[in-house]
Amino acid sequence: MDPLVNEIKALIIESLNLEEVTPDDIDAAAPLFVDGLGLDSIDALELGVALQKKYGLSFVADSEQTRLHFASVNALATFVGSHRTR
Amino acid sequence: MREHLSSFSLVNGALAGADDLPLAWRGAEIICRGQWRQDVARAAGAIAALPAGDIAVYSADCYQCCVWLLGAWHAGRCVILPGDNTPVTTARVKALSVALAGDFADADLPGWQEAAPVPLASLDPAMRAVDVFTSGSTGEPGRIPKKLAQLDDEMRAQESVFGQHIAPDALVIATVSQQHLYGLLFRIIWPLVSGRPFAAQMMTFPEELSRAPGTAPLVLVSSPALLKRLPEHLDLTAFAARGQAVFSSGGPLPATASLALRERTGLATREIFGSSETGGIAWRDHPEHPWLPLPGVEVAPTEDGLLQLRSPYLPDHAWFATADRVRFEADGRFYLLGRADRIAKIEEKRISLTALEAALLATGLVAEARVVVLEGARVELGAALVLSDAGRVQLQDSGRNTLVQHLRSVLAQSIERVGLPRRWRFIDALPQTRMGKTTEQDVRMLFEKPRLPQVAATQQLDDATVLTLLIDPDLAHFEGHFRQAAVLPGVAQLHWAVHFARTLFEMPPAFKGMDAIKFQHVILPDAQVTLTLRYRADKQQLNFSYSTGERMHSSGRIVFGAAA
Repeated sequence: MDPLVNEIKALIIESLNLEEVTPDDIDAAAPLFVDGLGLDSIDALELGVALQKKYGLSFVADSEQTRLHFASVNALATFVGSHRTR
Repeated sequence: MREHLSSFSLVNGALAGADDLPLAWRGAEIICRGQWRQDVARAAGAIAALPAGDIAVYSADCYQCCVWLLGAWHAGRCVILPGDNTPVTTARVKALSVALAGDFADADLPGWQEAAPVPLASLDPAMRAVDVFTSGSTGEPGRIPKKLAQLDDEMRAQESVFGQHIAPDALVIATVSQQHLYGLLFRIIWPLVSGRPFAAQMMTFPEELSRAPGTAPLVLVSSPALLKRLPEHLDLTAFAARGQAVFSSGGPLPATASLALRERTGLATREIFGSSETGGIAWRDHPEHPWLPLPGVEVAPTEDGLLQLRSPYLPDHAWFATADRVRFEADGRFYLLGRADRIAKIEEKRISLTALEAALLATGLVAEARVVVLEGARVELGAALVLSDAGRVQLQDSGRNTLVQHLRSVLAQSIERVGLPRRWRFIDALPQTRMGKTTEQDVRMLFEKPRLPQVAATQQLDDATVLTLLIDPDLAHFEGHFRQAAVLPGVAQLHWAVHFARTLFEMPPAFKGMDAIKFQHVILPDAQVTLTLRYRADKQQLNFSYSTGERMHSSGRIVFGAAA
């Protein structure tokens, strides 16, 4: 499995301070927002900031692209893998 | 352009402004007022063909929302403006309106652009222009009607105070939605009545501040949700070079966030205090200063110490009492001391705790519910629940996370996601005082993280006591740190040494000083460490050391004495 997937799961749990959620609880293919993990708009903001800090990438909101990148852990891992600058 | 300001009155609707005057930026595309007028005339045509009644509008695109607003007004209709488009909200506004326009699951008027345009005429200032919603303390959202003149007067008053320092062609960019009154006023009404353009899209991420389209000066309409999360490493020079004003509203902006932004951009964040019911009430440019009423707003304390006001932006001239506790300065400025009802502000959203509890009880899985506000790294809600029999069965069968997810998804039907509880406790009974009362404080304690380590073993030596401590990663001291970066702070080690020593030795009450304190190796979460405590009564001196095997983490001496 892509090690980035686990790294991103850990980053989600830590940066959002999720309660009693382990990496294994997060389905890498499931939606992060609304359904699935049920993250909200503030979570998106905080996660975006954490991803930017850790991987040196950036998002442009309101583009269909960003929504696709945030669709699931797998989608994020693909995006991070191809756009990271550190 | 400034001398024609009166032509920008909202009463002139979409007739105001020259054809080639930019109204909105959508991405890198500029939409001018001429184009907008045509869109409004067609939207008005589509709306005029509907049976009599109000139009519900929800759009992620501020320009589109602006077209629907003016289209409805020119068709003589009021706009119902919900704060979200959750299924429950959609059903509610559908019942209140004759059409859903914009981003609804079942939106009407898809072919509005083909509608025959209607001629535009000036608008009646007394017309009911929009209904906005807010959480009432009973849990039912309150519906607040606004007349056209209320919106017009308020933003023209704001322009008279703030506008002179902002370029006439400055672009209004925003990180808040125009579906709430603050966003509606500052993103749409103010640009309309001041001739400035606005950005159609809302910014979600901090780095977008540097990517505003065009080269004109910028006005940022924002809120604490974003301003307090601006990363330190973010390069703000591009924004600082163009920024002329920053507005924040929806809740108090932490002083640290306000001062940091000032240092990084040279801009003082202008906080606006107000509510959906009252419109703007007061403003300030410094997070520690008292609030100064906006022009035309009279403020006073009620007998109960709550803020009340009279204002031209209210429906009538009667005094309106808020639920905000207040302290007045002699000069009429005031400080806010928090709310007096069960409405919590979570990321600028007003969330009724009563409504949340009622929704939890309605699931049938919960017998008793108390929701409290927790102030940690982020202000969030905690739900302490006594489960019903059905709830207990579900907890047993499907586990904690599944139950929490189920409860959150039920609540999300009627409550915005940021307002959902993020901490959950399933308990046998709510904590009660001897008088049988459940206090906020006691419920909040259920969510406190432990501040002391678990003692796995205690060993008594000749001259020392040796404790084996388990360093739980859930200790409060690690909160807000990434797990890889978390270390047990030195101050916690000192505090623990004193705490455990007091349970073991008779020591004088006062802390007199310390010396030979050394921190050699960090203590990490999940560690098991040995704390050795020696107390010399003759010197009133406590010697402590934390170690793992031969490896010394820290050590030192703490001296005690009689209270001063």
